[in-house]
This record gives sequence, structure tokens and C-alpha cells, in this order.
Amino acid sequence: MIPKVDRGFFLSLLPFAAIIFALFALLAYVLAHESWPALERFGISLFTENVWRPSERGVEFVKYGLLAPLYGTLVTSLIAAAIALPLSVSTVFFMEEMAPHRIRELFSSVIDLMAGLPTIIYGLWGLEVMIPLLRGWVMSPLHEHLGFLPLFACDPLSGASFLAAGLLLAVMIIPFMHGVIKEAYRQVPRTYKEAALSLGATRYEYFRIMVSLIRPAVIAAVLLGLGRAASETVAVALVVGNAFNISPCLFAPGYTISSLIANQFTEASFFPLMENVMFAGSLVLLALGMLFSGIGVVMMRRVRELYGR
Amino acid sequence: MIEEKGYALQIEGLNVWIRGKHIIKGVGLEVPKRRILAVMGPSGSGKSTLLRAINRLIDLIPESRVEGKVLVYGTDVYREDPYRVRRLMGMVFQTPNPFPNMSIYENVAIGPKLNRLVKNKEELDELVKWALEKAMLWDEVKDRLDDPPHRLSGGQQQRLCLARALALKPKLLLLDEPTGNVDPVNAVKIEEALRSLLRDLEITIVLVTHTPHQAVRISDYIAFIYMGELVEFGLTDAIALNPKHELTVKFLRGEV
Repeated sequence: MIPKVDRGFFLSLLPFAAIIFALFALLAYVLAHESWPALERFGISLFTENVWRPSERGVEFVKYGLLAPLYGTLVTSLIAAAIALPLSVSTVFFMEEMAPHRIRELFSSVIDLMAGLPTIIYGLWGLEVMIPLLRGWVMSPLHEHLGFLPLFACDPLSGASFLAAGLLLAVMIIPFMHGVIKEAYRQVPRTYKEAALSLGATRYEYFRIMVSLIRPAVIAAVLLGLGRAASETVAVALVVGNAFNISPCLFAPGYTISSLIANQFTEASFFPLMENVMFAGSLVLLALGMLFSGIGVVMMRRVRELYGR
Repeated sequence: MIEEKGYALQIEGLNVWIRGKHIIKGVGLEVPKRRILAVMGPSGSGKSTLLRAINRLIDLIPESRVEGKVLVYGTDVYREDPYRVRRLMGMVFQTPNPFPNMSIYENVAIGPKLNRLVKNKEELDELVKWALEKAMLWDEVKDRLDDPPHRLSGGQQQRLCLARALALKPKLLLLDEPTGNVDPVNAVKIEEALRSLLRDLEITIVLVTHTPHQAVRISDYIAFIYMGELVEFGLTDAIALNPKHELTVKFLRGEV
């Protein structure tokens, strides 16, 4: 029971806290409500078919299936996480264990700065700097020499592609994953580090023991990173190519749910059901985001339980 | 006791500074093989630092500086790769610290695996059993080797850590107040285990303790450290019966 003197203060804060939950509930409700017409009309085929046939003539002429943007979201996020994971884990280890104090502080600030940059900056950089380099030095050679592999089979036309989006997303989620892993790493009590080293572990063996000690946090970082990558919008829209395309080739242009919404929303009101389809897409993002964050939070709690802080 | 030639541990003019603070001040001592050295002194006197200077865990502390010489079975600790040096030694810490993400079995097996002491699973099983027996824990855990270590009591966890260190077949065993956070029954078991180790194995033990009783009860040699200085060093009987320094007398009486 709250003491009487504090009750007034408690009651005055309550609405502010409650507002946040109410807003979230409202958001989820609106997404579900607005998606409903599209879900009702197309059913499961909205997520299993690749069709984008808007029409101004009437509801009966339109047909939508979000499979291509769903596929693109999945592929670009996975590429991003696959690149960002080893980089962030090894950066954390390097900075926490090997880098001199000053360099660690400098790097730390730079990485925190990277996490806070407006994403449009990454998008522009990706479009103007990364894509030309990637196309000239990575995509074209790979296509020329290893073109028989389905991954590299297609000609990198403009360079805007799954690979470009995945790589850019990797750059964008590294600071974030790095932060999650670093926090966990710093929670590991020194006595475990001493125990590992006292067993005669080399640097590499020590690294493996340390990573195994924070494995839940690494999983959390991957999930939260995937969630971030899937929801990133403008930067991806600039480099992914924006084509309804399902292809195993990394150099082919594609779409993601977020970039689709960003690109098409301005015109969506002219076409029947298009807005509802986009809401359905964002509903999927919301569900995935909640799932990933949920598991991530549980994993981080496990780290805290293990190391009691 | 079998007499062995040579020293297990030789320390000459050892000085340690941490962040500019002089922690260990010119310590020198020699311990023959197959003996227990008890390093005793009040808390904060530099005992743990001395231990970490022997197996170079001191390297972990940035801004630490070491001068002097440490020889372990003839190996010059500061002229060798730290991980090679540490493979000569095992260490047990003040608070039980079995790896929480590994099973009881894996905790003991990890050292031999890292050091490639075994060729196959059978040898590893054998070694794990041997180490747990030596730590007097085997009977209590033989049916639940796959359990996580936090299911064990604190004292059992500490014996697990002893087994983890022993599985490396170390020549020098370092213990940092191993019974400080353990109940009396388990403390006795750990002391018994240590004594039987010395009977059966080619091993030398350095035990840090802040209780003079434990030091006198268990050791062959005592080093009394106060404020980073080696006040007195010698055979346990000599120091217990006839301490030369006034500080040692006071510490043995429990007055420092």
C-alpha cells in the first residue's frame, strides 16, 4: 500500500504511464482493424502469392499478394544479421579485452554515434558510395567468375539489390547489436574470466568461452538486430531496387515490406484496398517485431539471472 | 614424504604496482616440491595479488606492473607465453565460480580439452572421474554429471572448482582463500582433499588464507604478508611455535 503522502504523486503519474500502454493498444487495434478488409478479401493468398495489380476501376479488379516483399524482408534481414553478428561479437571482444583504454573509449563513442545517426544518411551513402563500389568490385567479378552459382547468376544491373540492402542494413544494425552484446559482456564477473584464463586458455579459446558465457545475449542481439533490419525503411528503399521480385540471386532488385509502404503509400489512396494491404504488411512487421523483442528480452533476463546484476 | 630435489616455486625480489600503487614490496621465498605453503595475512595485504603474480592473471589488470622473478618448476613465468605458464598451474578462487553455462562434467572436462591432455572420450571420462575423486566430490555427483553446477551447494561447487583445476594435472595448485565462503563441513573436506593430494601426487600447493588456524593446521611453510611486505617466512612449526616478528605474534593471536 502506498503511504498517504505519496498517493497524490502516484495518482498524478499514473495517467502518463497508462497513456503509453493505451497508445500501444490503440496502435495494434488500428493496424488490425485497417488490415481486415484486405485479409477478408484475399485470405492467406495475401501472404503466399506474388501479385501487385492495382486498379482504379473497382475492388473486383484488384489483386495483391505480398510474398515478394516478405521474401525481400527476410533475405535482406538475414544477410544483414549474418554479416553484423561476427563483426559485432569480435569488435566487442577486441575492445573489451585487447584495445588500449583510450582507443576503447574513442571506438565506443564512434559506435554510439553511428547508432544515433539519421537513417537517411545511411541511405544516401549506400546509394552514392556503397552501391557503385559494390557493383564494380564485388558483384561484377562474382557474377563473371562464379555466375554458375544461383546466388550470383544474374547480372547486377543498377547494383540496387538484396545484397546492397543487406549490406547497408548490416552497417546500420552493427552499433545496435554491438551495444547489446557489450552490455552483456560487461556483466560477466571477472572471476569467470580469471577461471578461463587460469585453465591455460589461449586468446582464441578464451574468446570462445566468453562467447559461450553470453550466448543468450548473442541470440538476443541477433533477434533484435533482425527486428531492426526488418523495420528499417527509407535507407532500404533507396538501395533495394524496389521490384516485386523473388529470386535466389543476390544481385537482383527486390522489395521489403517497409520500403514498399514508403514507396507506394502516397498513391495508395487512389486504389481500392491498397492501403489495407499495406496495413496488413505492417501488421506482420508488428507481430514479428513483438515476437523477436519478446524472445530478446527473455534472453537478456537470462543473462542478468546468470550473473546476478 | 618423498624428498624431491629442487624447488617448486622460487620468487625473487617481486614487486607489483597497480595504478601506481605499490602492492607487493620485494617479496622473495622458495618452496620445495610437494609441500604446502600458506600465505597468510590480513585482508588487503596483497595475498591475492601475490597469487595472481605467480600465474600471471595479473596481466588482466590494466596499468599493472611487475618486477622481479618467479620460477615455477624451473620455468621463468615472465619469460614464457602466459597461457603456457598457466598450464603448469591450477587455481581455485575465493568464491566458487564453476561456469554456469556448462554441466558438472563439462566444467571438469574443459581444462583437459583446452590443453589436449586426452585422446578420446574414454580417457576424458576417466580423467574427469579421477579429478572429481581427488576433490572428494565424485560420490556426491556421479549420478548427475549432466546437471548444471548451480544445483550443487556452495561447498560442493568449490570442490567442483578444485576438480576443474586438478583435471589439468597441475604441478602447482594455487588457492585463493578457498574456504572463505564455504560452510565448516565443506571447509574440512577441502582441507582433507588438499592433504591427500600431497600424499598421492607430484604437486605443490600455495594456499592463501586470512585465518592463522588454517595456515598452521594445513601447511608445511608459512609466509606472513603485511601491507605487501613479507614479514616472516619459514617452516610452519617454527613460525607457529616461535614467531620472530612482533607482527606475526599479533596476527597469530588474532590482534592484527
